[in-house]
Amino acid sequence: MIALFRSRLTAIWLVLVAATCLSWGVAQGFATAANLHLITAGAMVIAFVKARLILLDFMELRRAPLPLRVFAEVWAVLVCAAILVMYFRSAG
Amino acid sequence: MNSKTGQLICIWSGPVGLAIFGIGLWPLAHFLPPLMPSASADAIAAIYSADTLGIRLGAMLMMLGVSMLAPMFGAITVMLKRIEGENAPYAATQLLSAAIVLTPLMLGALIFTVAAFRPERAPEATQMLNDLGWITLVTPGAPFFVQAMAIGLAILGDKGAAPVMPRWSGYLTLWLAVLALPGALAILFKTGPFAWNGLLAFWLPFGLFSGWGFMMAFLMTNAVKRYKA
Amino acid sequence: MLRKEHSSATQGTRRDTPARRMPAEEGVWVFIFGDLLVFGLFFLTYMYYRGENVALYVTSQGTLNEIFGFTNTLLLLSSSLLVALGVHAARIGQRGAAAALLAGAFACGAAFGVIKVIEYGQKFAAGITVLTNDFFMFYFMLTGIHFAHLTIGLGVLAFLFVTVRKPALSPGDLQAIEGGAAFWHLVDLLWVVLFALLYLMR
Repeated sequence: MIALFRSRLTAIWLVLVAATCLSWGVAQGFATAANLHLITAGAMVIAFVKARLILLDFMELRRAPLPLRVFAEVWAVLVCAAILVMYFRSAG
Repeated sequence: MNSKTGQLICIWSGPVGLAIFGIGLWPLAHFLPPLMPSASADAIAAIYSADTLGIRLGAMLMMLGVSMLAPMFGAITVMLKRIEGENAPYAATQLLSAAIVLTPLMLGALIFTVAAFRPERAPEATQMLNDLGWITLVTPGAPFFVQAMAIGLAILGDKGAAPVMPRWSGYLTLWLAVLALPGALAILFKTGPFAWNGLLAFWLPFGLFSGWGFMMAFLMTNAVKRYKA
Repeated sequence: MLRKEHSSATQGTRRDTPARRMPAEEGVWVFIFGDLLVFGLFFLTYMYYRGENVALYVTSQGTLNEIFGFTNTLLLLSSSLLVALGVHAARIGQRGAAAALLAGAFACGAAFGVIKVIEYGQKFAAGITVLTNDFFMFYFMLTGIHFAHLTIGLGVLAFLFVTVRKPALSPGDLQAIEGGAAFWHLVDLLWVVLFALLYLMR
């Protein structure tokens, strides 16, 4: 069973966990009034990078027929971009 | 008139019904966008006064449109029976839950008629009838959830050599089933996306349901044409 | 991942790549992409209303328990790993390992559920409900709808667990397992975004 864990998937998981810790840790420890927007934007981008990894590697879309993969990638980019645009427009 | 013609008539009664419902809702009753849950009693009473004829005629067409959905649901039942064979619990479920779907749609329109019947009522009374009408129309999502689950599961359970309906339509219907549920949340909110005039409680479910109806009409027409008795 | 044997018969100018294959059955993706679209719409709707009242959202969001949110994110990420490994194990015939991995994933998902209930309980005890203000309306609605997906996902995992313990797995079984796994990953993915949107956005 342990042999199963020696897989690219586990490496992906490590990246996901690290990214989670990074985005949360930075938000916790380094947020000041000045860099709040930057940190939030960073956390958002990291979240969608994580989502993309889940889509491509856990859901196996990396090797799926192109239309599926393209849809997923476009979704991630568009939704992330839209969220960031709306965030910065209201950030004043 | 053979059974294919009968089925096609029933199937297409659905989209026609949707169109008639739409004409009643909007050009006639001016209920698109839906009246605001946050509107004052006086504002609501004013609307029913000004538009009393349009609302009454619109509600009448809405009821006609809803009634014409019944044959399409009947045709869906027949299609599910074709899939399931002799023991057809999904077909039976679909038929029963379809009736429960249509009932509040009819009642909602009927209540609008009553609200518009005597516009000189006390504004609070008109507002209450208006509330009753919209809540009846928009919030019962559970019956369609059950109906769509039955249709979706039946389509996906098709073990025949040549599936009657494409499998993706089964998944699509299941997805739609889940989207029917948030409508119930309109009882909690008078503003925002979950209110009865909101994006997520009204526009999304009603829009998708209409689209689904047209899609099913096309798919079922193909299924009927392909059927070798 | 198997690579195609580079046969000397082919003229080797084209790089050999594993063929593209459809994970799970096509129709499953209708469901999953549909859900991605609707949730995308939810996210943008949230951002729209947030933009009308940023101060309210920031102060309300300050009362959220980030430790719960963080822990829940780790739980779902881990459960997704276990599910992905479980699918792989099922494919290479290690059905016992697959079952154990799926059970582990279920446990993680259940733990998420427990934490969520505790989190909601804390809010209710403080008098905060879905009607308290706009932020909390979205908070409860978004996490609630996600919770409904998670609950369905737990049911799917249970179904996968039972399937994988069959004496032999047909191609149809493997497809079903992939489809159920994809749905679970969707649950994970949506939470990853929700965590950033609700808990981390200042």
